[in-house]
Amino acid sequence: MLLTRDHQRPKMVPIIIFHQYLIEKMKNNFRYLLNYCFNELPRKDKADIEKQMLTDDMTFDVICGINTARRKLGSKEAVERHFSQTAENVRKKLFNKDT
Amino acid sequence: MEKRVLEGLLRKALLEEDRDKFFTLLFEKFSKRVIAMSWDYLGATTQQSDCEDILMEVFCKLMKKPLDYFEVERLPEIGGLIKKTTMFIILDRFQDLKKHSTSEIGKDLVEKLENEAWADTQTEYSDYLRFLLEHLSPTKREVFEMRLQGFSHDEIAAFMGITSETSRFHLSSAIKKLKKIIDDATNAGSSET
Repeated sequence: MLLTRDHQRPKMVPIIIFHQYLIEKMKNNFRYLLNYCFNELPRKDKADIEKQMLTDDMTFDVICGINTARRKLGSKEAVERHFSQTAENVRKKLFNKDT
Repeated sequence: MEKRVLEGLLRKALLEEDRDKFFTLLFEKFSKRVIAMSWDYLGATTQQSDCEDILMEVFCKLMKKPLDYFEVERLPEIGGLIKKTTMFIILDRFQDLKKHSTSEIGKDLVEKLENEAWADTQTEYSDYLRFLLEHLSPTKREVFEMRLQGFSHDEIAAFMGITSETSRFHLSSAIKKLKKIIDDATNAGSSET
């Protein structure tokens, strides 16, 4: 696993920290968008997300993806579980390729 | 009663905070519709009393909410709210059927209800996006909204009788137009300051 070989690659340490920071940031953003899709945000925050969605293609795609999963799975918990599982699988696949 | 007249009366009752009048008007207008929906979903074996029970449950649920839950700006959508509440109550009644019944008809009904309940609880837009969407043509708006609600381009194409390429074209031009409106508004705001 490239990112956890810090004893072999001391230079990578800041990248790992940055990587973890990015993952946390993405998770928070994802939860925020998930709340938007399930109508659990106040109106002002909704407007902010909609503005972001129209100016940033990735946000738009994430919202479409969440809503697609929502149509198929129904509940918020099921959608969250599905995406965390998918992310975990992708991570495993990537790390296995590296090693 | 005409829709606009009803909206006016409901608005007046809300502004005067007249709870009794508000719910009486709602009941007069929507009770038949709730009964009809119950008949429709519960099927031919239903009795009148079952439908009336559902009607009572719907209005009890609505009346438990504070009056400021019904915002004046959202009065045009009140029919949707009542439809959604009715569906969830019918769905609750069928949860046991789903768990215990082996009847395929019952399962189909539950599935249909769940799908329709989903359709009524899809992501709601803020007034900001609603205002922006008014600038789009009906086709572009429909493609944009369907895509945002998670339909694929193939599904949109099949639903609207167009090709998936046309659907993609409509979506990208809708986004371009909305971006332009946002940019123009931002530029106008910065030039004023």
